[in-house]
Amino acid sequence: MGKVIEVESLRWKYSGRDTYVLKDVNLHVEKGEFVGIVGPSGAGKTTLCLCFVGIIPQRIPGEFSGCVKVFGRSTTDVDTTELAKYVGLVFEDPETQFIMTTVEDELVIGLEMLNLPPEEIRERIRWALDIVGLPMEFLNRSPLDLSGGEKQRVAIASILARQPRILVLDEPTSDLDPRDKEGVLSAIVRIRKELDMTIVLVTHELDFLLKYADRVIVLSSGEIICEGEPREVFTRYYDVLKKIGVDVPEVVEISRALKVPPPRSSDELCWLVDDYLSKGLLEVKEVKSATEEITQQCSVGNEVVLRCVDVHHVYPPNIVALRGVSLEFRKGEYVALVGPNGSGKTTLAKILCGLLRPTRGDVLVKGVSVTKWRKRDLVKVVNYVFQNPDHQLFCRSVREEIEFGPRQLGLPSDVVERRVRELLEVFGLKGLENEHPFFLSKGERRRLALAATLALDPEVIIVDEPTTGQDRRTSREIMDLLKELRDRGHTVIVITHDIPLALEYVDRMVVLCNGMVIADGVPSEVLSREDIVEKAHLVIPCAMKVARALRKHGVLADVITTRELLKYLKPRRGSEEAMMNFPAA
Amino acid sequence: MLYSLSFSYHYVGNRGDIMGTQVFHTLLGICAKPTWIHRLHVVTKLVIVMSLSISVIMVGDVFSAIALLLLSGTLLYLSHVTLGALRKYVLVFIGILQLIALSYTLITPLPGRYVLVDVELLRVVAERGVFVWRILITDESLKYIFILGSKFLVMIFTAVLLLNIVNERELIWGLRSIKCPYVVAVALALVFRGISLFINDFFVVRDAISLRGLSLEEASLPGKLRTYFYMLIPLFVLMIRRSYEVSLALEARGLRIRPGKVSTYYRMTFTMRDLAVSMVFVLVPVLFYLHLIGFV
Repeated sequence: MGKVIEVESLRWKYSGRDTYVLKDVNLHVEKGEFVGIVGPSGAGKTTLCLCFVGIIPQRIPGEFSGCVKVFGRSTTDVDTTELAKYVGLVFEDPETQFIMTTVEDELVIGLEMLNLPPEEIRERIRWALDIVGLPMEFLNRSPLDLSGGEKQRVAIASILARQPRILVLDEPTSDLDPRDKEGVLSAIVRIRKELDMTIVLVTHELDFLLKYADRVIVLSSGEIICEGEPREVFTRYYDVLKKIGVDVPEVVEISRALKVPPPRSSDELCWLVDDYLSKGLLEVKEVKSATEEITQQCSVGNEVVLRCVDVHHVYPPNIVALRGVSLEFRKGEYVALVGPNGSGKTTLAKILCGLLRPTRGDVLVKGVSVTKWRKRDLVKVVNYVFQNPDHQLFCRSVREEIEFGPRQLGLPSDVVERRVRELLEVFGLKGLENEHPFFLSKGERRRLALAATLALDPEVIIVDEPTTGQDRRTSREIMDLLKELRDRGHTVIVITHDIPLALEYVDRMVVLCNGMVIADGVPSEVLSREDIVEKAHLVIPCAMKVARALRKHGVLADVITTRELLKYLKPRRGSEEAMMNFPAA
Repeated sequence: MLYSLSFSYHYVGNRGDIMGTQVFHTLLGICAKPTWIHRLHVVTKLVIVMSLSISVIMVGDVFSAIALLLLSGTLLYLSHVTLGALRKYVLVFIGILQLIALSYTLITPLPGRYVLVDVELLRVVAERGVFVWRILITDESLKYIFILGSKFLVMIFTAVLLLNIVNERELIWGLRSIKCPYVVAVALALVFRGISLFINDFFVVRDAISLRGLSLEEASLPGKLRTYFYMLIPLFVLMIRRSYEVSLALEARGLRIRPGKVSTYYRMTFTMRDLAVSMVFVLVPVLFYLHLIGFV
């Protein structure tokens, strides 16, 4: 096949930093191979991608040693603009990649650089849009007006149109709803099939890698921990991955617990488990319904703190964001607000905390219309944490940032001091009190933004996409913190696309679609309705799929998490020997 | 055949495609429907705007002020600018008109043939003479207030017209069509992109700050200033982060300062209609000048 990327003893340190981001990295990528790179936040994944296109070390100052070769030529000898002809790099955030004001211009600008005649440019645009599954009507649209998935597809198309021989994608789906994720990822699979292109994908979507990648490379603290065929990596290095904060795919988790051979997909797992049950190698235990358990935890009788009454919202000139939303949020609830990109989740959140006024209808905060509350008083009852922490950090130090809110509200110094101390401790920011927020990592900035909002001690806290772009460990840490708040009696509303993670924590799921609430209830009930799942671009968790497939064996279909599923299913004692010898699927 | 058809669509479409009202939409939040004015070549559109701007200088009497006001108003009407777009300027215009009125009646009153109001505010008798400060409204001061007010109104109309009919995309490709260096066109594109991102960030940061108990609406003037100061920090940080990310994206797409040979995708043609419209609008300031010097 031939090596297209060769990395030997690569070491890299950003100028002004003490530690190396990449430490003696050795890897190679074969022509036409699909390689997945995984690892916790800060592992050096993006830095490695920048090395493939020569931006490191040619454009970014720092200490570089070792060698990176692309098609046999060292990236230090060939200019990045020349390398860009062979290696296309798609970044995590499509918005920062857009330069022009229409989709057509966005694609044209990269192609003009290749000095192609207009006829060929036109052909390539048509071809690239077709590959990523976007119609030609998109050409005149502004990239900013597209949905998250459409934006990412345009970003991929703009690189693809240049027909690079290697496509490097750095977390291209982190901000997308499950359906858009699927769209982008299937576009990648299609590119690979049709063009025999070499693909390097950095992602947290491990299920996708398990199904499609040829090889997975695991990076941690700038070093390659392990690499190999995905199933092998996820099973053999299970404990190592858990230790560094990388979750293995749910199918591997279940198959490992049930001691069945690791499958490539959830469908394969369903088949395997069914077969094992029929052969008597697994046993089903009697457990009470998962729904019952969750209902017990719910705060049905608690006081209603927020009530939306037929809320409509229209953005100028005439964009309808919400169409008659009526909801109630009670004290001590942990609610997931889910739905496709552009379904009105953020608009609803902003209306709930008084940032936007409903065009029609009303929001009652503790029984009083939100419009009658003074802003200063309202922030103590309902508050909202923005998706991008950079929008809400404006002080010179971490301490000042947390103190800011309570000081504005005129709280006594000792109370402020106590809250700051508590929050620094809870959010793992102790020792960083005097650090400028600008120099914190993204995970730390997100935690600080959350801490700064919580310093106001609001009764209801709405958090917008808290786990976007975070590794599994950090995501869990954030969700755990929110759970702790719920346990202390706060109402927590989380806007998220990460359904499997949310299911482990929330006790209620509100589904918005096209500005309307299409489902509201216990997660297992919501996800059991196929029409809702389809409409709201949701994904059914692997555990739920398995449970549904095993209904005939007495497994209840309202199982939604791996933990719940494993309460029902167990490998039969004494059958391990037989299972170990069972042929792989 | 299919290809040539789609290709001709591309070129025909391009004249229309490059219309759009992105800047107008970004700054005023209003989208005007495209008209024949939008379909003109960008140079023609700039000639129209320049013509109106130069004509403002040539206005010296009530007749020419009305004529220019009507002309600019008609152009706004023809380019389908809604009244909503002008609403934002009403307060600015009223403020300016008040200043003009005060300056021609209170500060430097103009004597005229007919005196409508004459109120003495202050009389100081000194050894060297008498100083009188009065409000004097004459036919002449009203005339000048009207002319100057009209000039400002025409300037507002022209600015709104410019934002409506010329968009950033057109400017960029217009620059490219007149052989402007590639890097300049990309830099301009980035500036426009930066403006829309900055405006967007501004509103988000304002909301974020208000959620921390510092509301712009409820703050006093020093409080407001302090809030704006706080807002600058995240805006600045976001700008730095974004410029870094954009520069990486540009590098990854192979864009460089000296790009070497670069092809041109868009071909903007200057039609006979463009020529005719440009000539008419070149004549407009000439006519106003001739009227000013008493030739017409």
